[in-house]
Amino acid sequence: MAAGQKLYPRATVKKIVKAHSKRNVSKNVDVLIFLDYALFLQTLMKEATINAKQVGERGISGKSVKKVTEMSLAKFKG
Amino acid sequence: MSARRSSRERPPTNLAPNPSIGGTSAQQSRITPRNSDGDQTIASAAVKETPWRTLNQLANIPRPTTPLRRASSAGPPSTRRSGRRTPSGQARTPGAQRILGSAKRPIAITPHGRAAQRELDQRRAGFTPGKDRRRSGRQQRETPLGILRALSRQLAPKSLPIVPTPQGPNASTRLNVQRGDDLDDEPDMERPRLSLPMGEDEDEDDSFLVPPRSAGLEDENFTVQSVELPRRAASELPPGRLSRGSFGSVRMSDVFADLNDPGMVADGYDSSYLAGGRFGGDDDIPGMEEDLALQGENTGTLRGRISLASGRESDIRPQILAADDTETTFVLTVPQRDPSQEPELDEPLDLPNFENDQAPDEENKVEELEETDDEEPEPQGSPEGLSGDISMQDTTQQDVEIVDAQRRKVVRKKKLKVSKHGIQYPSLPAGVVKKLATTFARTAGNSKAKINKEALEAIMQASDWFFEQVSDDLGAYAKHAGRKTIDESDIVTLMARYVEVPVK
Repeated sequence: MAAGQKLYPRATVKKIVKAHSKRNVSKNVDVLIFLDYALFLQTLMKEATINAKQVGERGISGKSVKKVTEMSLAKFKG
Repeated sequence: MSARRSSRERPPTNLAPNPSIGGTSAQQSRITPRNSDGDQTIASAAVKETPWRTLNQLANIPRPTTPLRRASSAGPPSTRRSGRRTPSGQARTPGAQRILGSAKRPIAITPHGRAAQRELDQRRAGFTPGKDRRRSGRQQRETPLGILRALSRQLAPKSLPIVPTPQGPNASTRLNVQRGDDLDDEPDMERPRLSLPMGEDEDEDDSFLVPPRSAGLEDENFTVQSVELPRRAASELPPGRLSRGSFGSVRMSDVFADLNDPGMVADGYDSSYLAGGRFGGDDDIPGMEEDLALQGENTGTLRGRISLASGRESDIRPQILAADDTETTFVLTVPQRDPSQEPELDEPLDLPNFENDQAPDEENKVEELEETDDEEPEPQGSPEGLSGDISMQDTTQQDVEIVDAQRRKVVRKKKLKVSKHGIQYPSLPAGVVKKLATTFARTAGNSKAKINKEALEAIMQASDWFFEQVSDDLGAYAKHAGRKTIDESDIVTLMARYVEVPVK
């Protein structure tokens, strides 16, 4: 990722969390949430890659992502 | 033979105080190497008298017992040395042994000691194959290495090969660690999966390939969750992607309205919206539409109840159709026949994308069929009505597909979704997600990771679910703490609660 580029839209993350929880989000929480999201995405992609390799796909297909979504989400369930 | 000789020579040693006999022999044996071999040489040597020898004699007289001690104390090292130096030579050539032995012998004074030494030498030479073994044996006794080796020999039978610790306790320790530490430790704790479980769910995949049913995650079992739960108006949900509802809340009742499903489309358009709940879970049987009661139960929505019941029946039971003539068209969305239908269609269904403009082309065709169906067979009987139904369903299928595609477009355009609190929210921009996902896919080992559109869609869906899940949890923690804002401590709590789920 380029350094000058924005990594992610902070406001958007904040909005999403705000909408779902109906609560305000304090100052740096959105960053932490995004970091958590990055972890989640990492897990998801790892699992999807494994799944794709198992099935024998070359890239990562939507199917393999969907298959591992539930498991990955369960890992990040508080 | 030496033992015998030693027994023979014991008397002279006993007479050691007597200088003339025992003392001289002992001293000679010590001084001259050759004497050790035979009694004759001893005797011959005793005759000669040199001043040096007499001096030695004198020196030895006051302490007659010392030679014995010396022999016992100094003997072993000397013999050992000789044995160490040329064990094999001694064994092979007796001559060499004799020379060497005689060279060392002077230390042993008495013939008994000599004999014993010789005996020892021979024995060692005979039995020990080499000096190395002896040395190793000594090392074993003395060095720490030997101690360690002994320890290892003690432990070897008891110790077992290391077995990787099972997941359960590992997870618990991980939890503890995280509680103590900061969030930064989280990535470290993640253990890489070292193996690929091959062929784990091959058949599952096959089954996945064959029927492209609804777009939701289908091969999971949702039946338990879908029982008796309130249903959501499916008309607002895009079939391919559920705008909200975390994974736990995704039920078949939510997915039921997937119009791509060929089996579902056969049932008809309206049923998928209002009474479709039962079709999603079960197999689609067109005959099921006949049940009035079923439809009434399944349509939880107020608006749909009346129109649906009548509409469905109209297809199969023409007799009842006569009663509710207004709503028969609802099924096939034919506005022209009855002016009263159109408002019904638009208002209650509340479909943003479903517009009448698209339908007419198809509807005209449908109309013709329908009219013939409705007008003619109504009074008569079911068989004709059924045949008409089938043809109608074909056309409606096309209809549905078109409408569906349009709806998807619309949904894609409008990014805002509504949370369960009724607040609109955007999803993360696809570019950001794609960039992150590509990076992580590359990290995961897929060097030339390509994420196609379909995969990105799935990832976005997963992201939405993730954010909803996380936000729910965070909100719950904040609420529990009596706060109105989500704090950093909430996130700490959240991440501390993460438990690694064993991979199935």
